[in-house]
Amino acid sequence: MTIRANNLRFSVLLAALLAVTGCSANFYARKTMELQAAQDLYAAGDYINAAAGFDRIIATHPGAAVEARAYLGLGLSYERMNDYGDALINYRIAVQLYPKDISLMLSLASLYDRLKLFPQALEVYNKALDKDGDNLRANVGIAKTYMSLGYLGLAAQHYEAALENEENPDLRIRMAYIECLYRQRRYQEAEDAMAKALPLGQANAALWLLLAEIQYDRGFRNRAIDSIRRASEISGGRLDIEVRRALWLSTDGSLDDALALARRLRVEYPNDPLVCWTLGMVLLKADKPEEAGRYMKEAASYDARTFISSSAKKIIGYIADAKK
Amino acid sequence: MKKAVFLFFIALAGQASSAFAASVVPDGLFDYRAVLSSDIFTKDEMELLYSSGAVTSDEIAREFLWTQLLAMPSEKRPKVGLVLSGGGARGFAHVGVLDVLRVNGFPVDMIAGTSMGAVVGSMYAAGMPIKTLWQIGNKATLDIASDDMNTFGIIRLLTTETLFSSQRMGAFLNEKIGEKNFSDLKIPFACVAMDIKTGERVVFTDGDVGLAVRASMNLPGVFKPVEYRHRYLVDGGVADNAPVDVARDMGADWVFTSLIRTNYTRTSFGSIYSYLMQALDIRGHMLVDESLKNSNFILVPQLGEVGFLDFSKATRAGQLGLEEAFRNIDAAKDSLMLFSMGPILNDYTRK
Repeated sequence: MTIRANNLRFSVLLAALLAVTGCSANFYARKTMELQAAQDLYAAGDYINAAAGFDRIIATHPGAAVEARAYLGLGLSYERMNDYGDALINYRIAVQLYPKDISLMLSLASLYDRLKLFPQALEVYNKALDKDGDNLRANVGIAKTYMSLGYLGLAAQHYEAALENEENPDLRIRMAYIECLYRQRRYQEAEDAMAKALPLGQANAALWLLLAEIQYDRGFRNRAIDSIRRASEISGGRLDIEVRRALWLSTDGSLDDALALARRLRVEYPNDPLVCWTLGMVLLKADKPEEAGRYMKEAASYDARTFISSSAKKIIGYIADAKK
Repeated sequence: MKKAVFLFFIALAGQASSAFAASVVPDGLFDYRAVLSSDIFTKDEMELLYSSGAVTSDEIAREFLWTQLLAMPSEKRPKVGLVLSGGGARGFAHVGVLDVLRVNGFPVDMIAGTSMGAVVGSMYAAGMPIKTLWQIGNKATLDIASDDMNTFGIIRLLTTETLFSSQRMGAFLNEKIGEKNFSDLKIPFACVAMDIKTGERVVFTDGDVGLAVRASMNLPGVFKPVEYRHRYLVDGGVADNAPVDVARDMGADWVFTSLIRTNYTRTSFGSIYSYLMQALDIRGHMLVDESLKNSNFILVPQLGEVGFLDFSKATRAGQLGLEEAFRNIDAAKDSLMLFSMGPILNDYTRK
């Protein structure tokens, strides 16, 4: 009798234990499925319903672990919908729930950076870097934030750290580093870094443009014109590159080529104030002040708040004075 | 029957535990990246990290004309004067401003400074690297100015009205830049003091730089007046805190002023010196506003958190100066380029 009673008690206890475990497992499995469903919606670009899905998970399944994932998803969805305030709140909650997680911190820091809340971005990036001193994204993120604030020297140090810690760093990190050096006029270091980047980016127009800018600033104008031509070819004649090429050709290359290029751009982009301004400049150089003046008048008429407009007005005055 | 029930529970538990294990990573944390894949998680951020922002039309035009301006021989372009105002510890903001100007290749043909503007300006004019100026800011303390800047000295000042000597400031400057005359400086420099007996503004453009700068930052009521050629000189901030016309007299065609402003309406009065400083500030503001009308570009660093004597925050002042200058450097470039358009175009159209 005693043995049977004990067996019965044991069976009841075991059943209760297994039922609890089973329920718990089902609970987590269900949450994972719901998260997966919300993530699928996010991946498909349905951010409204993804956000609703993540929101539902938070409402129905309280618990730090799942909530952190859901808050992150919610933050991402809101960010995609350009609702940065709600995105920020949700990232911050996710970080509070899992303060040890670097990726969550980096999401938060990145959004701070995007919102131009630079001191907050730096604080969170630095916390991430305290946890993982070699973290690539933290180093690049800090560098980018420092660039935004004007601390170019500090930015270069973090780009260097990011490059040192990666065996095959992304070409874009190398380019950001070169640009950082170039903006500080640290030309020799920029060229050294360029020598490492160029073999990896032979088909990268932005890299060739950057090289051209360094060469132009250093006074190696012919080399700069060759490099910008290469950038232009690779990019398929990107407007910002072509405009620079026309202006550079007018000072250090063939004036005829500059004029032909500027006129072609004018045909292709008849309503662009920069193209108009560029053609005016090249015509001025070609000693055609009246025609230059006409284009400058047009450039000045577009948007009075721009430098193009205010400089065009000055150039018109210069032409008028020269005429007298 | 019991065995069957038992096996059913075992099977259920096994299924449950495997489902549970699948959602847990070894370190015990849920791996949300398994749910939100790493591609989705990082895509936007990576784009943000690497994007340097689209180049605007204005930037291309500005960049071209700026390169033309900098490539011109200095005698063909307008002369640029830099005016650095007084401001105590807040005046270290000028270091950040100078840093941004240097990085952008901004020409500086002459410098005129008052008080802390004279300290920073003289060191820069002597050729001191910006990096060293930052280091000085990092170590700055009030006792740089005087050996008497200690508790004993302050008690003595308050009880016996014995003013401090500012000789240490002159020695500090001579130690940093060497004993130099104005003619030895790499960039032409002038600084302003005031004769406490006559109220006259005294402009230094020659002689011993150390002595002149010491006189320019010689806070009245704290430091003994500097005796020089039968004059008793005190801080120039009272007479001319932003000497724009001095820069003009030196030959500047275009003047950039870095101005340290104090919001004196927010001053909290704690000592007799706060009243004294307030009176000097108000007087200085009134005179500065008139002087600034002659400046082409005025930069006012926002230094709310740094006090006049807060030398422990000198580096912070420098950082705030740098940030303000960085935010406004394109506007300063635009102003100079528009002013210089004639010479730029003369040079550009030259055959």
